[in-house]
Amino acid sequence: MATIRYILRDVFRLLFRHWGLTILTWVTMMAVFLAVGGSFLLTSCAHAVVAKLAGDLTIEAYIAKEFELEALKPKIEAIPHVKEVTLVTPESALARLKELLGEQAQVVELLGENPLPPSLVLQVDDASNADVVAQTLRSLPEIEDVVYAREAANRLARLNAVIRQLTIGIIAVAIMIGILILFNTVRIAVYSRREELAVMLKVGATPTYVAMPFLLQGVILGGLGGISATLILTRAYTVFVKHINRLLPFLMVPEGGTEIFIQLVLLLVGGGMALGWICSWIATSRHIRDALRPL
Amino acid sequence: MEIRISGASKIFKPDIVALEDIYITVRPGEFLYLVGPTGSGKSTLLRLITGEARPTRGQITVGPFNLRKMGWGALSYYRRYVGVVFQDFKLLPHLTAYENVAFALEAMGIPPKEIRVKTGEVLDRLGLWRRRFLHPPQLSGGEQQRLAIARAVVKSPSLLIADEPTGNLDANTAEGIMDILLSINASGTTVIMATHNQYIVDTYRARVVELRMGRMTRDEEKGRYGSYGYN
Repeated sequence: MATIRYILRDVFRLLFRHWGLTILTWVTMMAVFLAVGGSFLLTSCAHAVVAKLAGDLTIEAYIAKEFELEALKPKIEAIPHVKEVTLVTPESALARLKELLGEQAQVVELLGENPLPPSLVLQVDDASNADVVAQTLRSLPEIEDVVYAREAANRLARLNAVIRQLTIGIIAVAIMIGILILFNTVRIAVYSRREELAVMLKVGATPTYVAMPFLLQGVILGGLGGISATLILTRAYTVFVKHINRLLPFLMVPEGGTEIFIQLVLLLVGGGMALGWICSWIATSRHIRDALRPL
Repeated sequence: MEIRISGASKIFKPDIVALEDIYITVRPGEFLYLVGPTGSGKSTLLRLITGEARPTRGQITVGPFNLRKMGWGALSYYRRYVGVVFQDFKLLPHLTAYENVAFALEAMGIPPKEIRVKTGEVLDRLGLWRRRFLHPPQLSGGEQQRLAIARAVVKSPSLLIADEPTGNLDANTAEGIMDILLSINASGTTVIMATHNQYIVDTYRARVVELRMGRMTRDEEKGRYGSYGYN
């Protein structure tokens, strides 16, 4: 119990002795986590919008008349990446056509027999899989023709991939900056107390006792940066979504709420604390190892 | 604690022989002077005993601890039984005299109440109670030396190692320091003291181990400083 008390006292000494460095690290870590969290939110929004657009993307497969539509459905549903299959009978297709033609619907009556083939309308799990599903459909003897917005599907898939890569890049760079800042802050703190640490080790302090205040310093700085960034991003996201949904309502960007907040807390606060611990451990353990290594 | 040094040698890279084939057994509660000219290996031998250095050959055991094989965790534990008075004091300038002593107990996880009692007692015993709020640079050389001793003995070590504890002090202050070390020894603590002070060794007679060029040249009960012809 006494040991915990001494360690906590030392943590506060570390944070307040170099308060300028503490504030600088806090603000910089906050900036790093704003970049990480901002990228994360941007990707989440983009994914939601792209998923929505991809959900609207359908493949129409026309069936040769000699085949039973109902019997074909399970076979089509078994194709990988097919999310949903809707049957369109020639009668319902004709009804839809009439609906589209409106006042000129009587033109259809002139055709006599219903010329429209039975078809299936498919939704795929991801726009990038539309090509594969279409090719599989074309290889089936029951399918006469396959129609879908190929270019649109490819663009959506490319957009998704670009956003994902961009986000990974931004997060990687931001995390690298965070690691360098935290590592150097703790290293400066260790260096400024190197004599004290050496004497502590010489009088019988365990390496854990000596290292713990620095580890907690890193955790606190990483956590503070994460908490500040989470609060700012949560508020900023709510305002952003409100504006974007008013200006571009068709995008239907998901609104921020508890789920987003929890995700940010896990990513930024949890990540910040873990990053702080790891950086401090690297900075401290090396010094302690050197101080303890016998001549 | 009994100290057994059996055939200990220390060779620094590439091939500097600091100590060679040292055999010493120090009985519990004994007072031992380590003498010899500068560079004879006194400080290296003390470092081997504190675990700051490892012997290249031979064994060193202090009580139940085999220093040759000891890992980091065990080394920290071992150091709780050993008080060290460094030649350059190694006091922390930003801490007060009181904090410098209390800090050694905090590192061992001793509760605050016990620290207050033990620190107060040892500062009082070494005549530093009135100076407890001063920082080391505000203390005289003798006071700093006493403070270093206070930090070493506050944890009631079984073994006290002092490297030149009277090195930079005038004769009167040096005698005061010796009185303190002898009283600590009288309470059962084994004391090993490296010194160049002929007056102290000749006045306060005890076992003398002499080193020259890394070799042990003398081990004499109630010996004198320069018995075998060097100054």
